[in-house]
Amino acid sequence: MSLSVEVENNSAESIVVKVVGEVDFSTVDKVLEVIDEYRHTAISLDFSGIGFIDSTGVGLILRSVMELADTGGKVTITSVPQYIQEVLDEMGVSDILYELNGR
Amino acid sequence: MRTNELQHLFEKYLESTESTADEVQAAETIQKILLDDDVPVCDELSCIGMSLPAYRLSGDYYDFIYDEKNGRYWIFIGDVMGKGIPASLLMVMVRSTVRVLTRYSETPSSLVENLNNILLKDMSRLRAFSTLFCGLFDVDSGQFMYTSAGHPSPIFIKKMRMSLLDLKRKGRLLVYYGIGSIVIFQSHFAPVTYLFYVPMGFLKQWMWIKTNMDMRGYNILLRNIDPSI
Repeated sequence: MSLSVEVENNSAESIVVKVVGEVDFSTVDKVLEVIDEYRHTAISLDFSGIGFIDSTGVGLILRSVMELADTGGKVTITSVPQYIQEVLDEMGVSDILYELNGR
Repeated sequence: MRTNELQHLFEKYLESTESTADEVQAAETIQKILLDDDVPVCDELSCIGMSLPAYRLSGDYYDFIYDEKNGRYWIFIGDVMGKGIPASLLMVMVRSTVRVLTRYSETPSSLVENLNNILLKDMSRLRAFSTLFCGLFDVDSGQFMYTSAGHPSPIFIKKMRMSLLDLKRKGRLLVYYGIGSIVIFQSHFAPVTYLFYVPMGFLKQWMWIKTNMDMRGYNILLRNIDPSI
């Protein structure tokens, strides 16, 4: 499986991370590395280009978001394809992210 | 593979475990032993479970527990998020707790709520999450109650109707399973009814079937179960 991660609109305050491909246990580290590298800025993960995400992908990204939230950081996920959004909704992940970022 | 065969393999590995690779293989065998436990026999229900880990070890979990005395058959499927050995360790933690709780729980929602409360501290410290679908089949009445902590919903098939029904339920992952998530659903199992669950790893195919909840999706699902159909 392949995954590309590109940082766009890089600024001191916020970045957009464009994720393209399939996010699973073998590729999710690429996303986590970028989140870790830019942990002091507001990060927006653009998921419009992903075709699949597995439980490891969801879990590890959620874990990173929680860790950043503890230190005042913020990660949002945007432009999620409909069928993946349905999965995230069904898992309650969307609500959790909303609460983490809103607190 | 039956449990006694796996037990034999496990004992063989224990005798020869000298390296990390051997330990991983032993852990893999332990997980197989736990997952491939004998499915309890019940005249009213037939259950089959299988796991195909993408990695050598996984966080996949399924379980069938028959409380024969009270005519209750518990069905579980879940997925601890993460990779390899860490996920499999947490899966064992979930499994053990679930098995104890079936003795003291009256409903799926009370079981999952208690499970969440018990695991909350450890799972929070470890930044771990798990999904869990919990179903309870009443052998006498044929009623099926279920709740879900963030696991993709199962598909319900009444064969005579030749159609699929998505038992959709929005829930929250364990550790985030809150009061608002506790919902009991009921459905009735008539003869020749199928209920299919999937672990998270099959999401891509599962979502495809769910978006094609017509004859096409129905036929593909059945062909995957029985190629002769």
